[in-house]
Amino acid sequence: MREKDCGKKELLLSYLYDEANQHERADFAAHLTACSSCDRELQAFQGVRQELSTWQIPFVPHIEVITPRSATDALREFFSLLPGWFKVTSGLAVAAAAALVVFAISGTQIKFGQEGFTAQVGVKEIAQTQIVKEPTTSTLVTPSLAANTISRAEAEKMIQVAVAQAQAQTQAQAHTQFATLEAKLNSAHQARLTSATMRLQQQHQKNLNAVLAEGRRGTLTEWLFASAETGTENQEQKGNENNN
Amino acid sequence: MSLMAESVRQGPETESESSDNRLIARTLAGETEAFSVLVKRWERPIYSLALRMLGKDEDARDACQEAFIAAFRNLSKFRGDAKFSSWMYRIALNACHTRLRNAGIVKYSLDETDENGRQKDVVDKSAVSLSEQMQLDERTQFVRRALQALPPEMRQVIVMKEYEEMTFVEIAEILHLPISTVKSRLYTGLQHLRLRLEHLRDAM
Repeated sequence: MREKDCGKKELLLSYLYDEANQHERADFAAHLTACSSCDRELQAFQGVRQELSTWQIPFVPHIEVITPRSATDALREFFSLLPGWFKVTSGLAVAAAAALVVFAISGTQIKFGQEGFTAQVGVKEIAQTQIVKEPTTSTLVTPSLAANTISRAEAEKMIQVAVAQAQAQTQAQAHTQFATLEAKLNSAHQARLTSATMRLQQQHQKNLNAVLAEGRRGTLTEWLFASAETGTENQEQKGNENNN
Repeated sequence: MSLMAESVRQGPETESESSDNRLIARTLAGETEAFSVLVKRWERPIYSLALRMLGKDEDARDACQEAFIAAFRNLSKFRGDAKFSSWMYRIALNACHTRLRNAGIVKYSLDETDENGRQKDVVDKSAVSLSEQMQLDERTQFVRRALQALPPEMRQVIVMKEYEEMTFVEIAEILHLPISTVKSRLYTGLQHLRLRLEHLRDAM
């Protein structure tokens, strides 16, 4: 049977769970003396609370939560489980893969064909190794041994290429030395020319001073012509001075 | 005007909250072991909540697993506006409600008797192991049955108040409900429990 609602439900709960402040507690305690409905409800709820308290959980299982690992953690753990030989092998494989990437970026082409192994950088072929195509008479020769054999003609060709490279290198060095020597000579020549010019200018000034000292009079034009003649040819000027 | 408790914090940050926040920061920085410490710290209240909501140990364990995994995955979304415990309780309750909805683990009814007037057994007895039955006395069984008979919305409020000893403000904060709604559900729930327990006792 439902109790009459006196509008004190929330206060009753605050009182029941000890969340009412001092003023509310005093107010509700006074209300309880006058309201039998709330008093019965309160006692009933206290009984329910007592019943509920009987269900206690004696133990709690440990909860295992397997958190996902980051990709880095997973990789680290994966490699830690690998045997040593596999790590070395995989390291070499990674290095080879890196080399292939570099070759690809630099335009290097590596071909495996019937004519053997060919490597190219850009458009220029720099190395070529051919597997011997000549039929071998020995059946004991394994394919791996044959693959490592280079024909005589190819060896000679490789030597020629090496010699040509050495010659080209020598020529390049000679060119460099000649260029250096030429630069030195040009520099020395330039220094001599500058020195000669300076001497001429000094001589010219000296002559002018001598003329002025002698007090020769004349027109400006005569003086200028005389100066030009002296400046143009040192020997002639010297001769003129001697004549004067 | 009803008081919404979503943004209400209970005073300054406590030492436990500060410790929780440090563990969260370490977890987010990649130290997953720090999350294990958080789990160990909160597994007891979360498991207890789940067990009282779901009624079976196995389901409670599964719900706990789901809740902690969900918390781990969404840890970056935890802003620290509320306590970690409140956030964790909310996730655990969601996990419980999802299991109740999807699997229909526990059927609840406010009707005390079936169409033939016999007492309905709202708890699957086969789900309770023999050892558990031995541990639980008769009164506890009453309480267990009575609680499982409540609608989840009422049950969760009673569990949080009675067993987790939360304040009305904390419950309102976790459930995103006004305090008046929390008190109303609690009041109605207590009334149903009272009737249910009386019926069970009389039936024995």
